[in-house]
Amino acid sequence: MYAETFPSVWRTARRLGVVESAVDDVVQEVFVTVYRRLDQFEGRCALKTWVFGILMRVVNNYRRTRRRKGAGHATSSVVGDPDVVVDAGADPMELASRSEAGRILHELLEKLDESKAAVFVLAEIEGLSVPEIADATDTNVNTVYSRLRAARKEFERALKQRALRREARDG
Amino acid sequence: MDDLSPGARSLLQAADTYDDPSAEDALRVRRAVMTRVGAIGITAAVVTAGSTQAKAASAMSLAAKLTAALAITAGGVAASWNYVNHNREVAVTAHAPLKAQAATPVAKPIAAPSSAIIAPEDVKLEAEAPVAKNPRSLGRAARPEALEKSDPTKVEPTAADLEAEMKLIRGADSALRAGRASEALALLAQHQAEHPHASLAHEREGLRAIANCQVGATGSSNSAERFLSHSPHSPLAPRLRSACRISE
Repeated sequence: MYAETFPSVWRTARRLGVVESAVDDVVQEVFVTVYRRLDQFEGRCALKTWVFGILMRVVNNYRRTRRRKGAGHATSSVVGDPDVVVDAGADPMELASRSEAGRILHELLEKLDESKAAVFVLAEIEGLSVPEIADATDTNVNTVYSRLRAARKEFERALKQRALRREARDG
Repeated sequence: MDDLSPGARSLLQAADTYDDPSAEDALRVRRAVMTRVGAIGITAAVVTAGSTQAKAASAMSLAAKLTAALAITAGGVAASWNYVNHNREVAVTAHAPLKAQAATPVAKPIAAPSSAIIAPEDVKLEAEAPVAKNPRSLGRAARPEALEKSDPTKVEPTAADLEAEMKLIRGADSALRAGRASEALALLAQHQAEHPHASLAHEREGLRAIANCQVGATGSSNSAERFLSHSPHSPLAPRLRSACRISE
């Protein structure tokens, strides 16, 4: 189970704004909680969905703690100048390296509010279905659909704005 | 529902593996989780032994819960981690998401451990070699790789090592609680011999101090006081004070 879910839990924590220096602790907390509550897993959803539900709560706690400590916006910092790295034209990613694309993705996710970013990451990257996301985030299906639709629009808009900024800068 | 544009999709595709953890990440976190889960069990013993009549009722419930955690055998832990969900997940989104499209498995194999040390929580006793600070308290750059350079002779415990450690520590704790202090000491000696760079060294030394007091070994009070001076807030401290008749 650990080997099966660890990579996606780790990845998702990072994409939901957990900074690199904290991701170990956040992921540990998820799996310790999984262990402690394994006897409460009733099989009403897939195990991965249940684990993601725990991840969402741990990440929310992490964000609250960061805000309480005055750490500012509880998101991961993108190293370097993301505008430099890629031409976000019609198909910009052909030219972008994996790490450049990763940094851009983080930059764009940071522009979404937390609930939309969560739905977007779970649906578009981790491949959870809308009902599964509803289970994991403890929200109803209609809300998830609505957030996903809004998140996609905002993501597209941020990507376009980024391309325009790049064009303006390069003349 | 509106779908993503090809440009956005290609970005997601290109960034697909950017945040993937390394095999070392997987091993390090797994080890830390197992150590924390093991520590829960030791705490259970403290709760059970430290309960007074007055708090017996509330302690019973907690003890029952924690003792269940103590019942982690090496196999039990492995079984938990190896739990396989047979419910296949069905994506109902209109498009195939990235991870569903990926042909390669998500999980990477865990590599053989590199040579580094996992330090016990916060204790350093005379009988042991000096330990490094807990890697979790260090920045990632200073984690096992840095420790490895400082002492290449030390070997990082694997998950199997931790399971073996927990089995011995749990056995010693059970023997101790059953009044078989000599048996506990033998198991703790075995633990020290087989795991010189143990992750559960702190628990071992705490239990050993308790066992020494129970058998009336020479110098047992000094050992206990030394343990308590290093770790006054250890979960084993109340039990140790009780066994060695040391006041707070």
